[in-house]
Amino acid sequence: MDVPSSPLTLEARLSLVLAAMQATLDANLSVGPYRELSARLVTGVARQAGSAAERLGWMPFINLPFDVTAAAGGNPALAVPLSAASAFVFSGLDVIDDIADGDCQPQWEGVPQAQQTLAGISAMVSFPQLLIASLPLPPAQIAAMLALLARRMLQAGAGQQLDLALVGAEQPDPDTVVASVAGKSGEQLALYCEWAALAAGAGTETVAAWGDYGRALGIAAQIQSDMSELCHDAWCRDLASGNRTLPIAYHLQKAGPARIGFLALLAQARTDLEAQRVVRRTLFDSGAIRMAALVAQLYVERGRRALQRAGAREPGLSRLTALLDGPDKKRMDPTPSNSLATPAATPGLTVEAAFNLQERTKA
Amino acid sequence: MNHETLGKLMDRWSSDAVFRAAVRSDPLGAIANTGLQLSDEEMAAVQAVDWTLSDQELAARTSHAA
Repeated sequence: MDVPSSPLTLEARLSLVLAAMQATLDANLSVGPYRELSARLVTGVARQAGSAAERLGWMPFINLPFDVTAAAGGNPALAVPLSAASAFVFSGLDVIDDIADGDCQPQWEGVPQAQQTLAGISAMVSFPQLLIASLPLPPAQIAAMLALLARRMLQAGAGQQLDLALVGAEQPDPDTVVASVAGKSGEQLALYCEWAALAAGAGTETVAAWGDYGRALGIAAQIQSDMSELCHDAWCRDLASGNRTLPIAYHLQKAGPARIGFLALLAQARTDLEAQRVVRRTLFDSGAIRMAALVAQLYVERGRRALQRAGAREPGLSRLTALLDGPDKKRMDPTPSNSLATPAATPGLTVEAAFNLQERTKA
Repeated sequence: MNHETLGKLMDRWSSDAVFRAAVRSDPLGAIANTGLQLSDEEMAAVQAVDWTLSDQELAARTSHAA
């Protein structure tokens, strides 16, 4: 596939990635129900990324493969298959996460849950491998990239299991909550960055630094996203689901004798809007929200240092740095002339907002 | 990350109005006076947070474009 050497707009990136995903399906599956089922993965990515592009200007599985490739001095043409492989990973994890949370996105309406699971598994264990294996790279690099995929998926699975185990927990350990976030969000973004670095021929330490960047970005973004939903959504789905996000874990750890009452309030908040307001107020008053914000900032700083260790350079460095920076600085599209990237069209493109949108587009 | 140290910091923040005022004017100096040992990364995070914001403002800033 020919890719122009000049920076691509997000829309152009997305179009190329979706085409590569579809081409992977077409090349490896004969026409029939299974290909139709798998095509819903591409529909889902198009829907979510399209919404994100319009509202926010970035999605991790699009921007990270392209921008890390640029910042690591890799071959720009490889960014498309890397992003397509990343998008399949994203879609597979998303399907499994939705099933765990009881969510159903439009592309899966009317599809039995067992078939959704089948599609999600295919997205993680077949299509990314086919894309990676077809890259014009030495066998040792391909092998390293496939091994990395296996390791990161195991870690993502462990994070998902921790997350499920934390639902309704009475004494959630903040370290366990962060470990869950790291597994679910951090390892996924780490993989996208590490793949791009490996494809660029980076050495072991540099690849690890790129992984640290993606991991830190993913953790910070998820904590911020959880805080945003908790503090600003009229109806907090995490509270309704009994999820133990970081502010709640901190508060429960410090609540002392008030812990029993707060647990009862959390139970009430699963179905009661007013109880959700009281939870929010309590978390503000106890400093738990500020504590979570500080922890998120800690990972932002960690990501900044990882970029330095990785030797990230332009083009790409400024866009990756902007992902870590404050909301007012997060304008991600590489071409300012693009209507999606103009400040007037996309004020404050935040990593946490992208994650929020990912959640909201499921509704 | 050291949750215990950060937890102590936030305990002090929540319970001590004088400490809050000190942190708002000089975060690093005020925290150094507590004797808490923060890593370089933790210090950088402390510096990056705008302590003059209320908790609500801080949360709003976090979700500025959500």
